[in-house]
Amino acid sequence: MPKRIIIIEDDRGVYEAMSILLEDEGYDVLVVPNGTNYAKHISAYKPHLIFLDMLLSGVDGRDICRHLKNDANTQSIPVTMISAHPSAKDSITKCGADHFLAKPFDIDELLDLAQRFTSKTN
Amino acid sequence: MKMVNRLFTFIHPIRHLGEKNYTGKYAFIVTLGSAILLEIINSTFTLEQSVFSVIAIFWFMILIIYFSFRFGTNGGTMAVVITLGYYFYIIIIRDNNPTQVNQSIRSALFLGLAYQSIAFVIGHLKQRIDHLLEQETLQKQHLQIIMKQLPDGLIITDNQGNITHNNDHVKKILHTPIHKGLNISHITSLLHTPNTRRPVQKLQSSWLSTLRSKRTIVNQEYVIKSKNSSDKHITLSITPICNHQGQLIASVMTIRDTTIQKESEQRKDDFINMASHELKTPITSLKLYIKVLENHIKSFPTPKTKQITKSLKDQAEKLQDLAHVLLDVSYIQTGKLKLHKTTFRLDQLISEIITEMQAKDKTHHHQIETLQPLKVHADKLRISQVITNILANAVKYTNINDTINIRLTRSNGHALISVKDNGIGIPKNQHQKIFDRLYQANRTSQKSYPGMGMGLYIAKEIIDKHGGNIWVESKPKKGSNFHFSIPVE
Repeated sequence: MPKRIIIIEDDRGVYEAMSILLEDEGYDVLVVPNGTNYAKHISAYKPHLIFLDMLLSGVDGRDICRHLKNDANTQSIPVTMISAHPSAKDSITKCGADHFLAKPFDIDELLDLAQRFTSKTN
Repeated sequence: MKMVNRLFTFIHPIRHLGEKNYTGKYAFIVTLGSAILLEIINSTFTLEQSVFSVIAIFWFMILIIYFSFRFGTNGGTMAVVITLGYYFYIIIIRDNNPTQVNQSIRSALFLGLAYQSIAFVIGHLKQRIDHLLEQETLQKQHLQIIMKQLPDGLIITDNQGNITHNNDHVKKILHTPIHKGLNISHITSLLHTPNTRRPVQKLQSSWLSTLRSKRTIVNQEYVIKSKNSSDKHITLSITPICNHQGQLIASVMTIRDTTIQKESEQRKDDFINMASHELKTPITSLKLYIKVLENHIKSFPTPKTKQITKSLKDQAEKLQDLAHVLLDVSYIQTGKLKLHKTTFRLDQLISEIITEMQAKDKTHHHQIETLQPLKVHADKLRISQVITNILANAVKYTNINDTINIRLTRSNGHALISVKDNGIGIPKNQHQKIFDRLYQANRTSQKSYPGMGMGLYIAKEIIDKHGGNIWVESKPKKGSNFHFSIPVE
């Protein structure tokens, strides 16, 4: 069974390329382009890893991360937060994210992360 | 009483120094009046000849001296003419003997000559003093006009820091009344540091010590807090003024309101910051698409597709570097460049960078001369950025197949890194400027070298933040030797 990854990201250029790349690597990918109904998708899709953008239109990715980590059903899913602001790393760690990727990140690092986190979760 | 005072002021010759009123009318009236009065007294009391002569000579001499000093040569000469006229009148009326008349006329003429000499000397002295005083007044007025019309606030103090002169701009800039005699500490107490917005505590003592050591403070930046409006940014310069013996006699302080300039700089910095952040998302997307493309064409590899994907990767990499440079500059400009220090082996870092560079670019030889094992406590990423920048410059400004020599040694508690090339070199007058923002050496050279002129500016800021130094030894066509030092652990 392929590992499932959810990308919560509102920039089409990023989520489209990320999903193709990860699908090419053998993952199942679901894109949630706005952060409003993420909970429904996560409970239905049961991902092994979530890539979450920090600044989504209308929603703060850190709030989503806090909710996920406070919910018993989702707290075990690894969350990697993505942001163009490296200075946001501290606040991202505080909201419970497992990893932080600063844009523009290294592609090999992204693939390595996907491999590492999805192999941990069942 | 007022009348007496007015009369006294009018008579007093010293009070009228500087006035160019050279009339003879008062001398005419008073001297003629004196002569008539003397005639009346003489006819009433029949004075003795000798008493009359003494009065006639000395009283008129006093009048001539007075009028010369009060109304210049005109006043003096008028008094002399009236006096001589009176003398001739006396001679003609009283002396009957022609021989005596002749003798008296000769004496009167002789006396007249002496009187005129006195009137001439004293009159000219008075006129010269008037001229000098007028010049001084004019100069003062000019100085006041210049001070008033200067675009900056200007304060002149004595050697103790007490204000002797200031223009109106000072009050406008500082939002506080300033007057003569006020100490400079009153102004320094209004100043706050630009970053922390805290009051500048030690400026008063540092200001005095700076002046005593005859050093100049140039364009120091401060903030003035205002209750009613937004804070004001100023730059302050202080110049000590010394006499010929080198003693401090005064100081000149100029205050410039730079609020508008600062606001526009802030907007520019905000824009660069925003733009460099905004660039990151499309660059991320671009890199992802390149990777996707690379994966998809793996199945039918041709030399051309390989070349295209490599070029795409390189260009995306360049774009990413550009965004990083812009962001670094924005951090430096806003004082947000932060160091994340760790302890690491500098020699190992240099080896890693050289290995990586050689893997990417085989056009130049990197030769390690000395690589002393040294541990430093520094920001590894930032130091790596500086080394990479200097090495990249060496590659950029040398010919293909040239050798670049690298040294790491310990010197006076510092790790000293030197990168020597035999490239085009830098003229001595540009050795300092190359570390300025947007400065690029050899702009006039025929060959163009790509770059924004930001690399060494960022490198210098990073090294300065580490408490180190960065400098260059170079001559045109003889190559460059870049050095930087940071404290060892």
